[in-house]
Amino acid sequence: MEKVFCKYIYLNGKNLLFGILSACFFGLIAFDSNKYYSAALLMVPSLLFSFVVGKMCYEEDPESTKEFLLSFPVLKRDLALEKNIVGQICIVVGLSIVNIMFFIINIIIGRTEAFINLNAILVMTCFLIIYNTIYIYLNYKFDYSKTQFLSYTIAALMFILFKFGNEFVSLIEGLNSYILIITVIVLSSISLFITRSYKWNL
Amino acid sequence: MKKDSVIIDIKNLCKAYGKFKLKNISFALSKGEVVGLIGPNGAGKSTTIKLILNIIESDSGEILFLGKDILKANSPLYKEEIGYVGENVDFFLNQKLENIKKYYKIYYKNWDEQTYQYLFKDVFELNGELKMKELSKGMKVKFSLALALSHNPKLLIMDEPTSGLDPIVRSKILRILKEYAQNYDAAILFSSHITEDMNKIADKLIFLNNGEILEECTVEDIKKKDCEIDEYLELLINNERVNYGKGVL
Repeated sequence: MEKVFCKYIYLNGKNLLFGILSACFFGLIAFDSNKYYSAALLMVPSLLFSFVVGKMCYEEDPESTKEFLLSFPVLKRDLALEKNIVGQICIVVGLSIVNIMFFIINIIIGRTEAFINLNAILVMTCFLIIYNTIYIYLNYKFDYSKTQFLSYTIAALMFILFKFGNEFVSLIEGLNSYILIITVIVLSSISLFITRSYKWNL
Repeated sequence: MKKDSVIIDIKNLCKAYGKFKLKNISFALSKGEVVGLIGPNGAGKSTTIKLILNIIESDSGEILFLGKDILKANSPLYKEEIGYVGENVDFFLNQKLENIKKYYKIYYKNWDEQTYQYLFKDVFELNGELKMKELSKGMKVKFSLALALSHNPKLLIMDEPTSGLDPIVRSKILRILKEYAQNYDAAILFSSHITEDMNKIADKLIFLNNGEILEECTVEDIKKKDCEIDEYLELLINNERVNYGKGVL
């Protein structure tokens, strides 16, 4: 794990910083209204994923770089697994940034309405785990260029959430949070398992 | 050949993909030995190297590295003892050399910063603040070689690293390789189709064509036959064609 963190700091430090800054910047949307909370929950972790994991996938995409990496004492699957783990960390950090930003901004402008919605966080986490897994799969099964099609789904969903953010929150209000927590754990484990056991043809 | 001096022993290595087949490749490298893999394009030189590094998986055969079968072990840790300089050195083009080095060294427990600084600054005169994309091909090879030699590998594998380099850089690199093999008791597997390089550093030559070893001999053997290496390769390939023709007819 230490090696993975070092890799992202040494080779992707600037993007790591830009990713966090962009995530914080997007969180400023809370100044406008809390109705954008669900859109921020989707957008901020995906922005972070794109800056951190997406950029690394782009850097590692050329054949010569893959060959260089595979000459290291690492297994092929570790390269994919590392991105999955960092992707899941991006989700946790991204969701935390959204909640912290909304919390601070609500205090600053003296807004008293509740905004934190556990179900929205859990549903978004499920979606983002699936998104990240498909992204990593496309990147290693085909190449980096194929992952770009996936970004459109985020853009489309973001527009829907901008328009129907409140409707989305009320739609998922009735869902059982415990079942959602179990779903997140199961999805996360399945995602790690698939990435670990798939025979990657790098 | 003494058994304890053998660094890598490859036995009956086979790999088929598409129409290409690597057939029963067997050879061994001992301490201090520089072995040249020679063959035309598509002979199987790079495939053999990728099999040793487990970049591609073999269909059958055995690779004993320092006495351990690396194909059965299913652990990549043996690569800590291998240095690799590939044919294509255009990796991490947007990264500074210093950052690539920092990342590279965390994977090798025998990393020797002093050796790296000596090679990087004093011998190759490189600048760590430069990005990979700002380097010439020669500088990229020098940087790759500095990385590969700084963790004191027991086996150094080089896949056509000197192709496209000017003669001065080539000579400098070959001299460093020869010295490294002698001073550190390491083995060097050197693939190239520039036979001039083989004359300068190789102790043993392995001629490959169509995925098969045609012959294994020393440079002296060829000199005794009053022949140049490339002429000898041509002769071997022509012989193979004649034999193949006889077989078909």
